[in-house]
Amino acid sequence: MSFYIYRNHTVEPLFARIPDVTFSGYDDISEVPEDANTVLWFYSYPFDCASRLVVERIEYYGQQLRMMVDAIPETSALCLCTMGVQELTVREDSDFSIRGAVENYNAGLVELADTHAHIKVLDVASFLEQFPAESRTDWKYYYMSQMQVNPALAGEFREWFDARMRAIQSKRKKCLVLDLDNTVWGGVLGEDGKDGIKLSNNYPGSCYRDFQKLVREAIDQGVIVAVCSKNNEPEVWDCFETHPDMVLKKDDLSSYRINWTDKATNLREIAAELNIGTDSLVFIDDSPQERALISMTMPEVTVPDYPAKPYQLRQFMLSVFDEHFRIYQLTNEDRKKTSQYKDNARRVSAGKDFASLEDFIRTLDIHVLLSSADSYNIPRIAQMTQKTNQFNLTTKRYTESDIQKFVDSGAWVVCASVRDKFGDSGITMAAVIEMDGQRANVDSFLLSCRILGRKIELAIAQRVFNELFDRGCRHISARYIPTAKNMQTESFFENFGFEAAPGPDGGKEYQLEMQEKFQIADYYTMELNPGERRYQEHNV
Amino acid sequence: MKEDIKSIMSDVFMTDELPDDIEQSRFDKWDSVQHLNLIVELEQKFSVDFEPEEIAEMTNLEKIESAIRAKVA
Repeated sequence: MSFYIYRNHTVEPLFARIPDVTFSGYDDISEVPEDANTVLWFYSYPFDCASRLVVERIEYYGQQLRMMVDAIPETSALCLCTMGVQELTVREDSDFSIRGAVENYNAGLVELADTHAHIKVLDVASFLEQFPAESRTDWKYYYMSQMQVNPALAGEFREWFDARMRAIQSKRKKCLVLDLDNTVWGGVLGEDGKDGIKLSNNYPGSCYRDFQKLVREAIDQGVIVAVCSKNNEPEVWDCFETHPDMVLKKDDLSSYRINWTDKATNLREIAAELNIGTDSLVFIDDSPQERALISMTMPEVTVPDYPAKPYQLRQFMLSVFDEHFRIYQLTNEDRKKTSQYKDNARRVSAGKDFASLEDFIRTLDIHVLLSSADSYNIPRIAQMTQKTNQFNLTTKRYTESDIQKFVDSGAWVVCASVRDKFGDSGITMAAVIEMDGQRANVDSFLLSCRILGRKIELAIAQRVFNELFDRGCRHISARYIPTAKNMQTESFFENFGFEAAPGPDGGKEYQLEMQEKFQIADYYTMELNPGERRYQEHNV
Repeated sequence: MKEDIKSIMSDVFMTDELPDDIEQSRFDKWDSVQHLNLIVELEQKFSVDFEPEEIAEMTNLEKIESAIRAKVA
């Protein structure tokens, strides 16, 4: 079982015990998992402080999702997590704009699930709503590491999530086989008579009536319903036709066996008649003896325990439906259906969404501000060399005075911040480049994982090389030093045409003769402040 | 207490092979995400709360142990 998780915040502790899981960058849909068993779309309510941004961001998430859905292979199950509302701004949501955006977002998930057989909705919002609002987030962990869900809930989340995943992987059942007496109505028809059975608008008859209503709903959802009961058949049809509170009708039943034959034989006949396997049956019967008979003789049939009290029936039916009928794997037929739907969905989405990922990125209005080292940003640059492990080509650790020495010796020390329509990342990239006339040597190059994705790392590096070119450098050398954590940068410089030679300890030594400047993807706006300049935070 | 901490580490890092002088900088599985997972588990197990500054310092077995002792004492 392999998972790929798209997310907009830190969710790792929630999935800590799952061995084979890959996480996207924050808010990053540029990577598409080709062979993940299950893809999870786990976007949480955005924690912006301004209501306007919350709304915009939620809309943006919905757009991102629609971009992503078409790219995911249908062979992966795709689970979309619902979003709950958390009141986190000082402004009252009196125009319901935030609530409206969340509702739209969730409705969008449901629509996708309705039109794609491999897409399911995972109701994370209702899982979280079990807990009081103040315990859903631990602000310490939010500010330390962008965790929105309180990690103390991780244990309970894991249990909940595992149960859902088991349901997704288990085969969907097709047919609900119902007993009648004390199951779809209270009492025994043969003894109590049509007027004596409990089926009405008052307790306990109301419980059975609602049970029937839910079965009726399940039929509309494609569940096949059959009856297997020990009764006199004519009495049963009389009751079905004339009892004023019967919700189910004879026409609702795809098959029935109303006789005194043993139920195992009857179930086999029902399955044969419907042309389905007996492993597609879910058998509902109040009698423990009948249930035991089926469990023992036909272990492939699902036999849920019938509840002890009539008022538990409603929850019982919901959970039966949830576990055995709601979520299912792809069949060939589903696939066909999916591709039809998909064609439609594509046509629709082309109108309201974007033709390509590039167009989409363009709407984010991404600005990269590159700044040479100065007294304001040197502390942050040094801190990044100390802390960045993953996207770090050489993992050299420097203090502030080390960085200052580089600057004093004429090296170009540069850092960058990334800003889009939602806000500013702050300084999240740094490079140390030693300069020697036409030669430059990339001593350090690192990026925070927070901004990775959308190929921004390529664009930033290209801009840096172009600046070197403008400064007269034609020959650039660089190095990759492997560590346990920086594998993802192993072939980074190859993207720019560097020649690689083996270096010490499995590393690489790179050379590039630069003939002309790089063409940078035009959906990024790049600015560079080459000189001493006060770094400004663009906080929104 | 050391053994309790190590058993939590085993769970979090999903390995039984923990060196006695385990240290974040020298143990590959102990990355920043796992550090967070580890702290969460420790906080729950020992019913303590660490401040962000303390969490940043808890980078080996000794330091973790003394951080917990300072809280429970």
